[in-house]
Formats: sequence, C-alpha cells, structure tokens
Amino acid sequence: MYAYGLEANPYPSSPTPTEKDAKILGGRRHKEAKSAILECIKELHGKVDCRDATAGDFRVITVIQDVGSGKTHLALHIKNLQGRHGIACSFVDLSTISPKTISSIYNAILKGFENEFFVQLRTKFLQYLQERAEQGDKAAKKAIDYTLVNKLAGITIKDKVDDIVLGKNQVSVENLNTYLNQRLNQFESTLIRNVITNSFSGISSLEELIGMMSSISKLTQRFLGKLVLFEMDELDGNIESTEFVKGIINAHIPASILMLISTPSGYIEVQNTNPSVFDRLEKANYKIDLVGSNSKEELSEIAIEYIKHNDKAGKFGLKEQEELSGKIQVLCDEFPEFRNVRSLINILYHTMEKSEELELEKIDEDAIYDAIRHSYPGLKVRESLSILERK
Amino acid sequence: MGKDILQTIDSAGINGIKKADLKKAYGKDCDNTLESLKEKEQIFIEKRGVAYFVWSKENYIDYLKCNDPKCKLVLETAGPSQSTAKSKHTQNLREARTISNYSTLENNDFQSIFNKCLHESATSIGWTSFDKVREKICEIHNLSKEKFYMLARDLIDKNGARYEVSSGGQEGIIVRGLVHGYVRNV
Repeated sequence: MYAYGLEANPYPSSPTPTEKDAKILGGRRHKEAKSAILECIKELHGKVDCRDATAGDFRVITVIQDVGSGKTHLALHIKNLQGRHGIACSFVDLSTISPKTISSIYNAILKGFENEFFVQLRTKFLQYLQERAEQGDKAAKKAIDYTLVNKLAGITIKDKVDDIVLGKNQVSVENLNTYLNQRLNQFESTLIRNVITNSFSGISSLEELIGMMSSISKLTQRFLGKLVLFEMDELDGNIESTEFVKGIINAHIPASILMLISTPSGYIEVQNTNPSVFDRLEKANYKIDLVGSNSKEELSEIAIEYIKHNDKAGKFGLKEQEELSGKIQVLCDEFPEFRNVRSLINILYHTMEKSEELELEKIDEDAIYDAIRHSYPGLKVRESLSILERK
Repeated sequence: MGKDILQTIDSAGINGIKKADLKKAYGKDCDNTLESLKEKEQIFIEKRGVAYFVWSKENYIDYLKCNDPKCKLVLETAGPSQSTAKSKHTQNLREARTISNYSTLENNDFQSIFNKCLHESATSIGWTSFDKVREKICEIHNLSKEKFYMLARDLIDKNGARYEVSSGGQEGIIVRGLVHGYVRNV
C-alpha cells in the first residue's frame, strides 16, 4: 500500500509523458491553456457546423515554453479528449522523424491518428456507398461489387457492405477508382481508396502532402462531422520542418487546427532561420503561454491532482493536500534545480515508492529527501548537498 | 545553546548554513541567540535566493572573497601586505573606479536596464536570448561578460517570480547543469 492508502503509485515514471500519463492534468495554468485550446475547437466547430469547410476555417495555435514544463503532456491530454470534443487528433513528435522528408512526415501524421479513426472513416464511407447503391446508383453498386448473382442469392446491399466492413468481402478496386475519380478530387480519391483498402500509398512532394492533409480534414468533416487537430511537437529551426509548417499554414487546410509546440529556444531558432514562418507563428490565432508553469503553486497543484485522481479510499483530504503542498513548496525552495514539472513528478514517483517500502501513511520530508538521495546519488546540486550530507 | 549554535555555524564552512536548518535543529527559540550573536558580529546573516544563510565571521570573509570581487579587492588591499597594496596603488585605483561604476549599475540601474533591454529585444511572447541582452548592456555600460552574468544571475535569483529562464542557446546562466540562454520578464 502506498501513502494515503493508494493502491498504485499515482505518478508516472517515464521521462517523457505517454498518452496514458496525460489523462490527468493539474495546475491552474495548464487548465487555463486547456480551456483556450478547447475554446478554439468550439469556435471552429461553430463556424463549420452545417456547411462544408472553406480555406478560412483553419486555425493555428502555438504553445511555447521551456523543456519539462508540460507542453507535450498538455497536447496528449487534448488528444485523449478527442472523442468528447468532436475532433480527430494526430500527434506528431518532429524530433523522432529523421530525415524529415515529405514522405516521413506524412507517415508520421498517419501514425499520429488513433487506428480507430481510420476504421470509423472506412465504415462511414462504406455506409455512404450503401445508401447510394440502395438509391439505385449503379456506380456505387459496382464499387462494392454488388452483382446480379448476389441479388439472386438473396444477399442485400447492406449484407454486402457489412461483409466488407468486417473484412469478409472486398470492394472492386477498379470500380471504386472509377466511382471516386468521378466525384472527388485526386487526393480525396487516393485517401478514400487507401482507407478502404487499408493500404496507404507514399507521397513525394509538399503539394501532395498538403493535398492529402486537406483531404483528411475535409472528408473527416464530411463523413464524421469532426475537425482535425494536427499537433506538431518539438518544432525548431530545422529547414524541412519550417518549410513544411509554412506550406500547411499557407494552404489553410479547411476544418483543421494546427497546434505547434516549441521551446523558446526552438521558437527563436525559427525566427533566425525562417523569418516568414516566424511571422506566421507570431500571428497565430491562439498563443498558449504556460507562463508560471514552474511556479511553486502550479507544481503543488499538479502534484496534488495526481493523488486526488487516484484517491479511491478518500484518505487524501484537504488537510493532507495542504500538508503535501507545503512540503512541495519547501522542496522547491531548497532544490531550485528541480523546480519543473518533469523533475518534481520524478521525485514524487520515487517518494511514493519509498512510502510503500516504509509503509508510510503519508509523504513526509524524510521520504522526499531519501528519494532524492537515492534517485540522484551522484548529483552535484547547489545548496542541496549540504542538506543531504547533514542528514 | 549559543556555543553549540556557533559551533554548528562554524562547521558549515564557507557555504554557510540555512537559518531554517538551525531552527529545525535547535527549535524556534534559537532566533534570539542568533540575534545576539549577530549583534556581537560573531555571525553574519544574508539572504541568498529565497533562504537566509548564516556564517561565522571567518567563514563569511572567505565567502565574500570567493563571491564578491569588490570585497576581495578591498580585503586584499587592506590586508597584511600593505606594501604590495601600495605598489599596486595605481592599478587598484583604476580597478576600484571600474568597480565603483559596476556598483552604481548593480545598485540602481541594472534591473531597469536589463528590463528595458528585454522589452526591446523580446518576441511577442516575451522571450529573448541572453546573448542579445548581454551584448547591448555590456557595450553601453562597459561591463565584462562575467560581471553581466553575475548581476543577471543575482537579479533572477532575487526576483524568481518576475523572470523565467529557458534552456538552450550558446550562453546564459546554468540551471540543473544546463545552459539557460533565454529569459523573459513575467
């Protein structure tokens, strides 16, 4: 049993957040940032509701703050909320793409979506084909390969489509191509064909990338009634990254939001390497500033939120919260080097492990110092060494 | 209790000891003892960052020698080797004049000059690189790079809630072993 009667350690131990870790979001600043992003989504939903999106229905959000301040956590938290807020979200970590070719960026964008997103898109489009075929559209019937033999065998159009959805039957790719080419543009046809056949073709130019991203957002709005949120983490002055960002901002991808996440260092790199991109970022619709994200109050609130979220036994009352908050503020004072979300969460993870080992009812100062001593044995931390040595 | 406290303070060496740690060890009543020792100039108390640190007289002198070039100069000049000091009179006078300029900047103007520079060079979200600010201030006020960063570090330490620093860049202040080359006023 962990401190406060918790059954599991409430703090994540990974050096960077995962989607699972990001289900919890604490801290006033971080919650304000979340509200601003949700406000942007709501506003754009209101604009495109009941009509096809146009080039004006595009928004840019920037999130700039130091490393370890919770930017990625915030982005993943928003991704976790996609079902509730009518968005399909693709999270891309630009630092994991090398070399940053058009093709590799496109693949990362596709991988950034939940698998469920493509399943939904596929199902919705096949249902659309079913409706068209039932209304007598011969081309739609051909696309789903619904033949006279099927009809004579008593198989309905719905049966046929259900089998395709379940993978028991297949579309006629040739006829599907003909159907799509007559009704959609080149990129939209390609996307639908890829989604239906579950096989994505490669791309090689920025024009194709923009075309495919526009198709994803347009068709998502049309068939799923959702906006697309493209989250691009770790943006810096890399030439390929900035050219890609410039391209998609200029293209005004309809019914979509581009969220760019960077550090002050990365942001100033963009300023130096590509002033025109920097100018576009400066004019972003929403500029999320996590100012004060490393303040003692914010860090305490974040730390408390994790325990509150896991407090099934109800042992983490107001008194315990205030006590822990006080200890965290002392920790921040004595170890200014650890005054950021990532470092604090790491220390608290180890402290919680210590609490289980020592069967502590609550986190105390000794457990925190022990955790620091054991987690950072060789660390030369100003001001902290003397304290540790004295203990 | 006074003897014990003095011994603990002395054993902390040049880094001094946090007043809060003394309170933990000797209880809140040690405040009066500390006041009395301070009045007798047996100990010295100074705020560093957010905490108060306490030194014994000898340790405090050593601490100042290591951390404050102005004090180091004064102590060396007034120290036992007065003949050396005399022979270095001209040089010391020059340095003293320069230090006097630093001192004026340190006491009255550095914060406002620093803030003005930040304001002028910052992006719309307030961040700017330390090197830009440093170049401007050092050029106009004839400061060395080292002195600039000493003053900047001190200013940021003392006004933690008013400034944010961020990692990256070629030069800046060191936090968690990382160069923090970006700063903003919040």
